[in-house]
Amino acid sequence: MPSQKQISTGLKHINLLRKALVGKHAITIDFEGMEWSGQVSLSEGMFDSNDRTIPCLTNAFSLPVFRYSWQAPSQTSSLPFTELLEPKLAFYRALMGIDLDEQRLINYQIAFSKLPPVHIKAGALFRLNMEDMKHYKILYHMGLTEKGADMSEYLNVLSHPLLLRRIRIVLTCYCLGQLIPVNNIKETTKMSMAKRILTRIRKMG
Amino acid sequence: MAIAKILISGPFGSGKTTLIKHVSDEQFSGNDVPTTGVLAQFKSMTTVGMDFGILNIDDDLDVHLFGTPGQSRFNFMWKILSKGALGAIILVDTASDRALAEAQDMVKTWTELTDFPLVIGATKQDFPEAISLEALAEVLDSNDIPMFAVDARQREDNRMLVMALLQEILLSEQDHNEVDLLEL
Repeated sequence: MPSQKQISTGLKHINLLRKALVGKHAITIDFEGMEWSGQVSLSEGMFDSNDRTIPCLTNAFSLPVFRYSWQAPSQTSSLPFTELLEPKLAFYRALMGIDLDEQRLINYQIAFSKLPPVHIKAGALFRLNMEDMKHYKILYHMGLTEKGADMSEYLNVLSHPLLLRRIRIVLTCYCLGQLIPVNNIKETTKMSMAKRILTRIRKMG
Repeated sequence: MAIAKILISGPFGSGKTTLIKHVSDEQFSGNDVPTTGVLAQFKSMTTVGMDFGILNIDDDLDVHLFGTPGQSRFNFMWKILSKGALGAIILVDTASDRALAEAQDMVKTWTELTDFPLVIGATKQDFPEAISLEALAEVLDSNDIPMFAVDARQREDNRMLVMALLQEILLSEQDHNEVDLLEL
């Protein structure tokens, strides 16, 4: 992942964040918005736990990002962080109490609705409160079906607070690499057994 | 005929018997007898021996579901049962200190014994004395083991736990180089 500068159009910076997390790259990303700027550093799938990380993530998720750039060390796969911050905890903190304006919310809704059907890899999203857990389980249930979860269906809700809640869940799952495209599952022998059982239990209704 | 094995584990009174009942075609429960001693205050009857269920998949495959005994004196059986199993579900009553302590041992033992997928079902989350899932993960030191709040009496929740375990098996086996398919 060579160093680059990009003019952000939409949510490309979210892609970068996800790739860095899923790929466990060592990378420092600088974000620039209208009246804010921030930086996060990642190494081996963890954030650098400094005072800037959470506010920067909150801004990067809730405000327009006009420019972003990143630097990745070429020779080393890790950065010397003094304290590490788990991504799921970082996302919980960054998204807790976040609000998104109508336009931002719709941008997310449109972008995520274009994703292909996905299965959900259950993560330890234990920091979700009961209400979030309820909506996470709805998504998870959809992902357990053979055709997978259709994001446009999951995000097809009218209420602003409900859509916000679901966007938070999808954004977290997306960035943490928990959305797995349905058609991309390459079946191994071991998986065949699990798949047949899963199909049978789906039919138990 | 191939046989797949799934283990349902959890402290005393956590809902293993019900879960197996909800996802089996045939269920053979251990004898329910009156609970004695200190545990009698928590549950009037308990399972002696083991719960066992069979789910027929097709002509070539059956699933055997084993409810591993809740009491810690049966720990010696876990190693035997885990051999060749696809994975395990651990049920935990989050409103009971006693159950939490037992579950702590169980998670530790299972993660040391095996490398198969585990899924945790956290029950009684609606009880005022229940600890949060975050606190539960900390108590159990469960790291990245998937955890769901479930109502152990609900068939749908129990089915979901088994399906979640199977989904974990499927997804953990696959290549995760598909990030480009999810470009926003």
